[in-house]
Amino acid sequence: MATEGTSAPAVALTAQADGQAVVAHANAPAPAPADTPQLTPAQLKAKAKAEKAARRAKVKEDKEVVAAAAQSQAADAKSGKGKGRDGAQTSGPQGPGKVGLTHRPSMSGRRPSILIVEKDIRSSIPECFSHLPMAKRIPLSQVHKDVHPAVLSIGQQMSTFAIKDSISRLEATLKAFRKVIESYETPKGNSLSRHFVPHALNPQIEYLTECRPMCFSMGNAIRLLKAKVNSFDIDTPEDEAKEGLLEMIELFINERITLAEFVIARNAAKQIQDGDLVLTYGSHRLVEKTFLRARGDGRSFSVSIIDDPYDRGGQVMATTLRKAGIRVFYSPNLGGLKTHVERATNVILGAEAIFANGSLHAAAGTADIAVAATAASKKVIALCETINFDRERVSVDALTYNEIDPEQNSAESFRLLYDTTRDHYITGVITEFETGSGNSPAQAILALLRKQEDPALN
Amino acid sequence: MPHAVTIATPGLQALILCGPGSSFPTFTANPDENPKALLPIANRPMVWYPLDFCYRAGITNITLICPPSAAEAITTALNTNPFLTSLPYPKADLLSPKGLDQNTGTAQILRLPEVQALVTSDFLVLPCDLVCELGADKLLQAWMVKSASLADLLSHSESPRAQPSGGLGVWYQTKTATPVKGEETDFTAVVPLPPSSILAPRGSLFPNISKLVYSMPTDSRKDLVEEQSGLPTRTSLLESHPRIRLLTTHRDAHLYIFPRWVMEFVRENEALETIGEDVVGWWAKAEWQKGLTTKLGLDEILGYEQKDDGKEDDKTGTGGLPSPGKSVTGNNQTLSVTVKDKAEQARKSESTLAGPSSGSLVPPMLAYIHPSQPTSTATAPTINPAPAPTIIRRVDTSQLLLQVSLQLAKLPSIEEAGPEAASPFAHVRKVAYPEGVKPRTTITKADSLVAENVTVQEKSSVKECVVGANCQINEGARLIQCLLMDGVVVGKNCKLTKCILGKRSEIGEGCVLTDCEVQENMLVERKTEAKDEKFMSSSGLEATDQDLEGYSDDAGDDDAGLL
Repeated sequence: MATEGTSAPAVALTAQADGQAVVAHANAPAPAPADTPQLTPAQLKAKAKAEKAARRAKVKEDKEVVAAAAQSQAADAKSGKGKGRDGAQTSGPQGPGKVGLTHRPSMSGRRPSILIVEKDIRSSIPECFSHLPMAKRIPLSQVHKDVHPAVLSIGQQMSTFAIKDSISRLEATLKAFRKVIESYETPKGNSLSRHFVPHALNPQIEYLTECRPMCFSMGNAIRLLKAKVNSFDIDTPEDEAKEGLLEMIELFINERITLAEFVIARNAAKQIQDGDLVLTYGSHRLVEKTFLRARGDGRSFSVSIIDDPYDRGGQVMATTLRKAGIRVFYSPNLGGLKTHVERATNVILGAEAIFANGSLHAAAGTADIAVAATAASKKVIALCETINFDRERVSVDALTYNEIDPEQNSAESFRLLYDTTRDHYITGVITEFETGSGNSPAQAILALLRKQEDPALN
Repeated sequence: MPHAVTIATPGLQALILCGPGSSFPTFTANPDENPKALLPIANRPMVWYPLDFCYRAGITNITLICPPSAAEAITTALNTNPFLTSLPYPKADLLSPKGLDQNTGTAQILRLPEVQALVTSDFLVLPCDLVCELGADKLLQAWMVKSASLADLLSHSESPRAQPSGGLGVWYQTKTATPVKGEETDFTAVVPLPPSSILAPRGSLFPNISKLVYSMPTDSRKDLVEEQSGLPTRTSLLESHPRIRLLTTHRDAHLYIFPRWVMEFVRENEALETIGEDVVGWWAKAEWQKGLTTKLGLDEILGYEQKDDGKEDDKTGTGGLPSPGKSVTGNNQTLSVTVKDKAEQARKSESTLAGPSSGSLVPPMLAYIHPSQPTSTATAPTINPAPAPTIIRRVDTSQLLLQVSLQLAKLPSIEEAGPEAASPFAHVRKVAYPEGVKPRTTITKADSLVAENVTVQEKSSVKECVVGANCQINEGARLIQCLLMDGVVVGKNCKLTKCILGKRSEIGEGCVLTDCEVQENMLVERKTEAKDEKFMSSSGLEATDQDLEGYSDDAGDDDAGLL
């Protein structure tokens, strides 16, 4: 009975039989003593709860009355012109906030930052597609104050799609995190390994996610970074920890981005022979580098670019290739695809990611090219860095993992940014490790990656 | 209670230049005691507006730059003025460099050693007289995405010198529905940015951003045309940019977002006097005029090597290999150095493969041309449509002061519009002290603004006016489209139209004034009737002994005598 926690130890010492009645008496002074013996502890608890709720409701009501009175005072202040009023007197007993305002000059226009309702821009998208993310693109005025200026800039660039593909975003993110680590100082009494991730890193990650949903490679890299931070001892000196992190990032960028690109371009350029007509879709960093490399190696070939009609990135690539002296055929959309594919000798496609079942996750429209090319028995080569391999997710269609275009969506239709190509449409995948070709080329590489990360596994 | 800024800082600092008001003869006759920066616009000191603009962007490192003679007045105001003290923390600093006087050009200000030492990152330059309702965050976003180079923002101390960032300036249309006579304009030429395949996000400023290729104040242009009987245009301009858009009625808002290297640029070139005309003008020209980059020393500042043909392989590339002397822990040392070397080689070989880089090396100076009509945001109905165009004006003549104050007075107060829909310039209430307003008076609330502690006696009417704090308007006075500063006493039965009355001035009974300006502390006699006059005190205009001597000499033998 002492669970009520109100009475002194004296009550607890009373005989058990009396305990109920005594405690009940102590708890419910207001109702008539005649009621009390009947109530069980559970009922008493319920009664106390009800009273508390009643008290809360009353307080709320009072507040509303005050607010309403303040509103009416404001309304009074609005109406009437130049009539001497006892507004000042009535403002006294009412809400303290109002009193403060009347005597202070106009506020400087700063008001608390308003959080725009999250689902506002998504209100037109049907419920069944609620699992598809869309870039929220929050404006600068609503960003949390812990976000580092460098991260702020890249977030803006990402949200306006100035940097679009996964590797550019990954590189920018890592470089920005490098700046965050450099400028980070552990507060007194904390250690970097415990304080850095929740207080310095997480606000940046949240902000970047709000600008645009993260790509797989960014997620992988952040996971690795966090694992590294956790691997430090709690009493590792700050300088040492920072250097370790910076070094890891440096190595990561050099090895898995810069070198990977170089190696992939070199390997893929070997696949281009003299006189080839190579078909590609849209514009992709790796594909462009491959073509330039092949040109630098002295091959003479031509390129046929099929462009995405909503995002004409192929035009920029066409200009670059023309400047390097490559002959370019350009098609602004997927029209006449069959003809284009039949004329081409092989197809090179760039990818955003590769799933665990070997499916290719690439710009919307890539699947069409791959299917048409396979139907015409052409070789389809996909270029992808190993950092973009996602060993946890599996996808067989384009609706499981995708992103909605924030500029083109309405209740009737929306545009998706990516699509999924099944692995049997891809002849070979070129990564920086080795060229996987033959059946299920991606699976071979995935096996290799598994072995790399878990050397014990055999 | 002033609060701290709670949004993210964009890593830029702001400089607000508080110069003398040379175009405000009536009110800044004494620029040390009454600096232009403290003149009230819609009852707030002028300098409040650029400060508020910075705080709304999240910029917390703000410095006001003023001549040492005016420093005291501005410091006092910063500490005592209710609007300035209610700005959020951290407070703005005040810098009064020694070499600065009332006639220093704006670029010379940037050359002063104190200012050079102060600027350590990319920075904004604002004039103290700018009223800009446009959200600073949108401008910053535009700068970050279009102008700033990502490689520069993320540059590591060891990585090679990256492509430097560009700048952004703001131009606004002066030919609005109610133009002000004699407002300065700039002659500007812009070209559109290279077309991007990506749709600009809704609500961003990108559709209105172009690249600046030529900028000159209209006065200079008129002089040039007169001198040369025609506008000389370089052929290199037309060769690089065959389609140019010329703007003649726009004005430079003098709001610039500059990258850090501009400080070095200004320091190296002593001939640059003003930012608006010289720095921006020459920068825009350097982009297309051959040889100008070398003449201005931009090559060294931007870190470009001379492009000699056939010598590319000999160069070690910008920055070269990073020094291997970095202490690396653990046994990853050899591995990381090897990877680093290989990555460097990869980068170098790629740059040779890509062929010669494009011609223009100078990062662009972009121009945001503020539309005078609101662009149709005909999309999401949930976002409140902006009915009136956002105000961007420079207030540097008294006519502009009057017009902008009246324009701001028309904004609905926070009380009327609600805290979210109200403009950042809205006051809490239109009539701050309603008890001072006696019955049987007319105050048109929709377009007037009455400050604290104002007493308006019976039978008077205040239409479309801005009345400062502690004013007294006596019986029967009729004010139409007037601007009253602090502490003005308007006598009985006066009729004032389109007047500007300075601090603590007094208008006697029965005056009829139209289009007049009254300096501070002046008394206008009763029953004066005046139109388009400026009532200024003659103190400070007395002839000095030197002038008198000169006069008697000129007069020759005439017995002119002393006045």
